[in-house]
Parts: sequence; structure tokens; C-alpha cells
Amino acid sequence: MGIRLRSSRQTLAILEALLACPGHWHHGYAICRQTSVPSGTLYPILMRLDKLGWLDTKWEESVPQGRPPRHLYRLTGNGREWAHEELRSAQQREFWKPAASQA
Amino acid sequence: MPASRQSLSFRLAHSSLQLALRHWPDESRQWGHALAAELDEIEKPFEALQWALGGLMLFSRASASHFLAWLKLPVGSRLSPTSLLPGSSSPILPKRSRLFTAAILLSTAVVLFLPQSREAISTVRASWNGYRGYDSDLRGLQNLAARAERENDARTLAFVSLVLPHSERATTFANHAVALDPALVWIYASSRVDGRPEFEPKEGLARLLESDRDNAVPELLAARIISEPRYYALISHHTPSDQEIEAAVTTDQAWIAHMDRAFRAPRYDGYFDRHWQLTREVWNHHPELSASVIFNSLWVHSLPDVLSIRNYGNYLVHSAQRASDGGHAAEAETLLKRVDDFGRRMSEQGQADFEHVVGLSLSHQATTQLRNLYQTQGNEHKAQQAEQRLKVIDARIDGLVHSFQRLGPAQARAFDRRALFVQLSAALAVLFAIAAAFSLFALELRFLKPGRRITQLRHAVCIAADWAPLALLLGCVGLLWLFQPYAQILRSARSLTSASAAWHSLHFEGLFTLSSTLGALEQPFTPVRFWQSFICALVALALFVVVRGFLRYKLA
Repeated sequence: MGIRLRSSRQTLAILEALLACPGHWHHGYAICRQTSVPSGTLYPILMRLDKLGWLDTKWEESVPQGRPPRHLYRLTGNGREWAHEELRSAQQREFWKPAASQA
Repeated sequence: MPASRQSLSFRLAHSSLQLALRHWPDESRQWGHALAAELDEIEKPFEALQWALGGLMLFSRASASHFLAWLKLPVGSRLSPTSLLPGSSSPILPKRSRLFTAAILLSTAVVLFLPQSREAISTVRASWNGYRGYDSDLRGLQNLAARAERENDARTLAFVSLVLPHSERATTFANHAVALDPALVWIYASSRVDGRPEFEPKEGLARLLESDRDNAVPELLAARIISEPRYYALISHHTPSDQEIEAAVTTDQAWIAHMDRAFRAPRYDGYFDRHWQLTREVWNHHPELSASVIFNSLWVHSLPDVLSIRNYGNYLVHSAQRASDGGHAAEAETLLKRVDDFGRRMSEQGQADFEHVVGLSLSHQATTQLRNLYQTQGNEHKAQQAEQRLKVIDARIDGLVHSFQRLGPAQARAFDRRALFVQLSAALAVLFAIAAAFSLFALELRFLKPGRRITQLRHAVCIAADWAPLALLLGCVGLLWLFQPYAQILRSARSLTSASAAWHSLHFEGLFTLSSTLGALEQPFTPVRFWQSFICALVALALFVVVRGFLRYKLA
């Protein structure tokens, strides 16, 4: 059985956060603060995006002493296309409004 | 490190995530590390706690998902292929998944949890040692007594005092029960299976004699206390003649006095029906009581001493003969009529078949002598009446003999066949339970490493892991189905009001066929040893196979 990702409001918020600076690497806590999605919801979504091949991940390379390396994330090319499509579709259904317009 | 990071909240968040990471499933552990690494970026203690809580939720989801994936694999397999030894081939595994096996075992547990199944298992288990009972029965009775003492439940206390082996506690329970309900004084009449009176003669019996004055049975029990040691002493030396047995007790005036009062008493009540009513009442109130307990309750019921009754009957008959020879025909007639009257009371008011037989036998002896006496006197009318009475007695004795042989050969064979199937299904269920437990533990705990020279044994264990749980379920369902006629017997026994009918139903038409060795209905007290031996032999065989496999492995 394939992995399915439900386009919930939390998923769309995370996708929007990752699309804000597409080439930039994000870390979990920053996404959490940006989207207000709690860690218990954020990481399962990131894990599914990773399994679907829409998320690039890597461990932080230069780490100050005494601190563990952090995991970094950004959308792949396919992931970005899919994320744009999902956000557009959600906007058309009026299920989702971009953060800028909400503000 | 900032001071806020040393706060309790931060330390709690950190330590809970570290603990979760230690047990995190391998396949998603990196995500746990990713989440934990972010904790150092969080400044506010409350946010750190929230973050850690999210981490614990993620850990729960990962663990549940890991467990589900593990359940879908066959018994003995691991999720990670890296568990294989270097250079070893993939292990031989059962075909069925853990989920299937767990579902089968759960279904078996549900079947076993049904009250009908528990009754079947308890009864069949009790039959395996001839209904002599197990330690668990004794513990159950002691718990029952403890509860009854707290609740001042006189009847349950009386029941427990009857079934418990002779002890200080049993006497205490009996005294407590009688103190709560004086009508239960008859329990002092019951004895242990070996025939020795359970009560303290000076106390319990005295109370019984005092409270049931017009009943012959307490007097007979008092006489038994005098006669029994004398009979034992005689029997221990040689096989005594009838004259020796009679002389052993008829010289004792106390014994004569008890027997005289017993023979003159207007009433005969052996308390058997009261005993059964009490047993039935407690059994209906506590249906979990095993068949052993119920049987033991019936077995401990004290019956009057046949030898003493026969001896005193003979003593009176001989006295009558002497009176007749001395020309005192009226005295002879009175003595013989006293014997006949007692026999009549015993056969008509007694509640056990045994009492009917003994009473009729006494009446037969006395009436024969009466007929002879009347014939000697030339009183044909009374001699004819005595002859008629003898015919009635003979007919009743014939009727009783037939009632002991209710089952024809075909019915007896059918009972034996049914008992065989019940025992077979129970024995197979035990065997399959052992096989299932052994195979599942051996595979899960990896007693049998893959890639070794015990491939054949592993094959056998995998087949057992695949089929034994299913066979166990079928065995349990089979036992439940086959036990239905016995369950019906137990159900109907619970509603019987006559002790004699209950005795017949439970013993000769029912549960003793289970306990008898195969086809030996005429020896109902023979406990089953066959299935115990059969199970032990198969367990020994399984152990032999395992040890042999282990030794071969070590040698290799």
C-alpha cells in the first residue's frame, strides 16, 4: 500500500513555510514557530514528505561544540511542483488562504 | 549554559526525550534524534515541555507502527534484516503471521473463558485424579470459608466444614455454623471418607443426641464410636467369625443401650437429603466449585454402621430364639417385631439406597423368624401374613437391585465412548497447548539459531508454530461440544431435590464414566492414569528431541 498524504491545513502551512525560501534549508523548530504546528504533528508530516521523495534532508555539518547536529529540510524539485499545485487547489476550494492574505 | 536550561522543565523535557530515544524503533530513530536536537534551540521552558510532549507522541506513533509491522511478520522473524548472522542464510520461518497466531490464541482464550468451558476443564481435570481434589480446591474452600465467616453465612460454613479434611479448622467452622444456625446441628453426624467420625464425640455428638432425641441415627453413630475400635482390633489379628464379632460388642452395656434406643426410636433420618440440599444450595450459589468438591461433600456423608445394625439385629433374633425355646413366645414375638419395625423405618424413611437395602435385609431376617415362630405356634393366619410380607420385601429388594443396574450394556458402551472422546479432546488440547507454547517461545526467544545443523528441528518447530495454536482452538471447541451431555448432567443434578437421585445421576450415569479407565464402568473409582501417562510420555519425547538437537549443535 502506497503512502498517502492528506492535504490538511497543517500540511499546507508547512508546505507554504518550506516554499517561502525554496532553496534554503529549514530546521524543525523554525518551521514550528513559523506555522504554529506542534512537533507531534510536524514530524509525521515531514516523515511522509520524505518517504514520498518530496523532501530533501541532511544533517547540519558545522556544529558548535556541545550541541547535537540539527536535521535540515527543503522541498525537492518535484516536491515544490506538487506543493504549488496543492496550495493553488486549496485556495481555489477556499480551504486555504496564504499567510500574507490571512494577515 | 543559561540558568533557564537547568530548570526542572528543561531537564524533564530532555530526559524524557533521551529515554524515548533509547527505545525508539530503528527504522525511524533518526527522526527522533532530529526532534531531540531541536530542544537546544528552545529558550522558553514551557515551549521545551510542549516540544518534548510532541516528541513522545511521535515516539508512540513510531512504536505502534513498528509493533503493527512486527505483528504482520511470521513468528520468530525480525523487522531488521541486519539481525542475521554474517554469512548465514535467511532463517526458516513459520508461514503464518504473528497477527494470525495472536488472533487464534485470543479466540482460544475467549473460548476457555466461557463459564461452560471452565466447568468442562475443571470437571475433566478433577476426573484425572478420581475426583480426589487438588490443592487449588482446598484453597478455594478456605477462601469460601473466610468470606462466609465475614458474612456470618452459616450454611456455607457448614458446607466447608463438611468438605474440608478433618482438622481443627473444620471443627471450628462446624461450631461457628451451628452457633449461627442451631438447625445445622446434623452436620456433626458427617464423617471423613475413611469412616472415622469427624466430630468430637464428647461435644458434637452430645449436642446431636440432645437435639434429635427421637431419631435413631445419632444413637447409631454413638454406638459406632464404641464398636469401631473393637472391630478394627478384631480384623487386625485374623478374620473373625460372626460369633466373635457379635461377642465383641454385645458385652458392652453402653453399646447395647445406644442400639436399644436406636431400635426403639420412632424416626429414622440419616440427614442425607439435608446434606444434599446444603451442597446443592452452596453449589448453585458458587457454580465455580469443582466436581471434586461436590463429590467429596457427598462422600463424607456418614452412614450408620452396617455391622453394628446387623449385630444388634442378630443379638435380638438370638434373644428371641432363646425366649421361644424357653416357652416365652410373646417376648420372642416382641423382640422380632422390634427388629422388623426398625428395618421397616430404615427402608422407608432412609434416604440412601444403602439404607433401604440394610433395612429390608433386617426386616427379611426378622419376618422369616416371625413366620417360623407363628408356624411353630400353629397360628396359620399370622404365618400367612408374615409370608405375604416376605414376598413384598423380596419384591422391593429386586426393585432396588434393578435400580443399581439402570444402564444396559449398549448404554454403558455409549457412555464409555463419550467419555473416551472427552478425555481424548482434553488430552490433545493439553498437548497442543504445550506444543504451541514451546514452538512460539523457541522461535521468539531464538533458542534455534538459523543456519545451524538443527534445520530439521527448526522445520518441526515452525510446523508446530503454524498448526498447534489452530489445533488447540479446535481441541478446546471440541472439548466444549463433547462435554455438553456431562454439562447437562451437572445442570440437572443442581435441580434435583433427592440425595439418592443426585448420587445416581452424578456417579453412575455421569461423571464417573469420565474418571474410569477406558471401558471399566464396573470400576468407577479407578482414576485415570492413562492420559496422564500419555501426556508425560509425549512431553518427554519433545524434551528428548530438543536436548538431542542441542547436543548435536554443541558437537558441531
